[in-house]
Amino acid sequence: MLRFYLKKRLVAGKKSFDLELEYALADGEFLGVRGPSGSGKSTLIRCLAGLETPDEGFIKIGEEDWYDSRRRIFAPARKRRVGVVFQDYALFPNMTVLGNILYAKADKARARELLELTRLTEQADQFPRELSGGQKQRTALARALAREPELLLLDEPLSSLDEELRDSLGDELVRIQRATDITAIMVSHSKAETRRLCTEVLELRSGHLNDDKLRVY
Amino acid sequence: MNIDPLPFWVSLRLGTWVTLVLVLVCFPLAWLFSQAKGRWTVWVESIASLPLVLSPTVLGFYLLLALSPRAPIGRFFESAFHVRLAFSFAGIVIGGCISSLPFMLTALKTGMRGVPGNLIEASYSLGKGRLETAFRVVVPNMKTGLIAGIVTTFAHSIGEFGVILMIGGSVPGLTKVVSIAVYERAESLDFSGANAYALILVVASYIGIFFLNSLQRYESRR
Amino acid sequence: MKLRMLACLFALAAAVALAAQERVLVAAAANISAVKEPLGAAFAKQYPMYEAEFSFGASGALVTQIKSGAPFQVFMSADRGFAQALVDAGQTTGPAKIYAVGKLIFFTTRSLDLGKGLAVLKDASVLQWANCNPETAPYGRAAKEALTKAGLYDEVKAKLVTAQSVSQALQFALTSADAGFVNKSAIYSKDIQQYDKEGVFWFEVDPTLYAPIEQAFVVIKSTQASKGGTAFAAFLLSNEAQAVFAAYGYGKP
Repeated sequence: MLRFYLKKRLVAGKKSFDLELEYALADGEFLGVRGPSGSGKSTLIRCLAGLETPDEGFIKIGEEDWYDSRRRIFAPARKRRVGVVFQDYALFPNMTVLGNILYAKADKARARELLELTRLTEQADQFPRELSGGQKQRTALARALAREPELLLLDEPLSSLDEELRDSLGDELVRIQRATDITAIMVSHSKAETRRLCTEVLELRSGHLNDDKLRVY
Repeated sequence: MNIDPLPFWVSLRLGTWVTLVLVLVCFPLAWLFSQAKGRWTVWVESIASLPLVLSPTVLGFYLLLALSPRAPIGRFFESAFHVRLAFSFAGIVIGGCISSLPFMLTALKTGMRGVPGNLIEASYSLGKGRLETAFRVVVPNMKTGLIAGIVTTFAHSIGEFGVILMIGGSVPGLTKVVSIAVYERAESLDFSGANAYALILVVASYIGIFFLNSLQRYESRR
Repeated sequence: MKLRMLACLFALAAAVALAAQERVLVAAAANISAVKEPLGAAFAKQYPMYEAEFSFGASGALVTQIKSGAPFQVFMSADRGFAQALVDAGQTTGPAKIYAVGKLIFFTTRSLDLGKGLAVLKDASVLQWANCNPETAPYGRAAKEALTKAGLYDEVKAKLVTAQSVSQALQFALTSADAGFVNKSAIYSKDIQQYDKEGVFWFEVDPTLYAPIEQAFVVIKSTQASKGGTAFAAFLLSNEAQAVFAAYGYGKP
């Protein structure tokens, strides 16, 4: 069970607004957070990942506290069992596909498993610059899953792909998420996508979830 | 005309040592600068760039005073390690390092900044610490910057003259580098001797730079 | 009214222009820097229309510059040989003439037992001693000669630190070197007055150990018709100049 409440002041040029949201997500669910650009989607991902610090709030996964502003707890990204798929994949150019996965966890058997799961066995010894967009995305996914994280975060994973790929890769994502039964949160600006792929969808507008009433922390 | 090969050996040793020391010293420094966000960085960066604008002779002058056994630094080294830094090989290495610091630092800083930030974040998200990230992600992805730093530093320190003139003492085998040998020969009106040293230095430097630049090209093509 | 003021200003300017001295460029061996001020003042007194401007360096270095066309009018060497080199190259208006005889001294700022004379260099407490390059500086040549004649050179040469001019040798001796060989006139400069204690910080090297440092000068041939060089040359041999040299520890030519 992932439970969190986050509050963070965001500045976009001259405008500033507060990102404030609270949610509870059951294990194995695939949450889609949909919102227009500038609504704070990436910030949400980054805060959950430990790459950014909220102004206030808490993040609790299972019995573990990843963040609690009242008790001054903050686990940085490297201390969290989290897997992140970045918007532009952030693959290490100096390592092959296999190398990228092994960097996450030096377990050859597990790496082979992941390569099969993401259908990348043929590309194992290729470098990121030789891969297509879809292959890069799947590599990023495989790498993020290598350590069997408690939470998988995806920052607009399908946005930089062209239409035909988007559908098929979206399905791949769901397949893999179900196969690994991992708790996942994906942010996207596409309503259709999130509706189609996710088990729960939230709308994020100017830092607030549009339906839920805020439970004050 | 007898060309003593010793100065070449000294220049080579100097270039190698200065480059080595600066890679080790400037790496954490460049890392610090690329990560830090305070206003203090401008102050420290300006100090680090001072050797670029200071005349080497000015640098050498201050070093001569600082390394003297009468000054705190010189005195410390002499009493603690029984090493007199002035007129020693260690002394010109120190002088060379200060003089070439901006070259290495700038090249490394630029190289590091060229590494996309999300690579570093990705590494952190995979549970890696700062050191491991630095060695396995940052360094391999800034190879061209590293090579540029090594090339410019090595070339600059091999040709160093002003500083060494002030604090070297032209001790054969220790501080008499090729540039000093050229100078002394010219001063004694032995132009053919000066030319011989100078020419060999030019050719050797060219070969070295050519090799390193080829390496640079190879790396950037990959 | 305004016209009269303008005319006055004009006349003033003209007077000032006429009163401005002509510079005489003198290339001088490093040891002359010790007597630069008194020599310059005495020259200005004798020849008020001229002003001597000195450039210092090792004698050999200066010869190189002059041979390459540096615009000096007079060259004051620290020896005969370098001055003669310019005569032989046909760059002078006349022969080389001796203006002073240099004296070599051993100098230190540390507390060494100078009673031992030159042999003090063998002491373990002397880690480094400075001498200027014998090939380009006559004082350096003299020091090397003296040590060789005294049978000490080979023993102490490992501790030698070479300076590019006698001024730099003094620099080294004042900072990091334990001792050095410099010109006697250096002792008289203001900055090292505190070390002017013969027998404590310096002693004259036995003149029989080295060939006399006969410092000669030449007037450089120039395309411009300037009498400044000739004037300075005459001055150097005059009583006033000789008095300055004597006061600063030089010997009579």
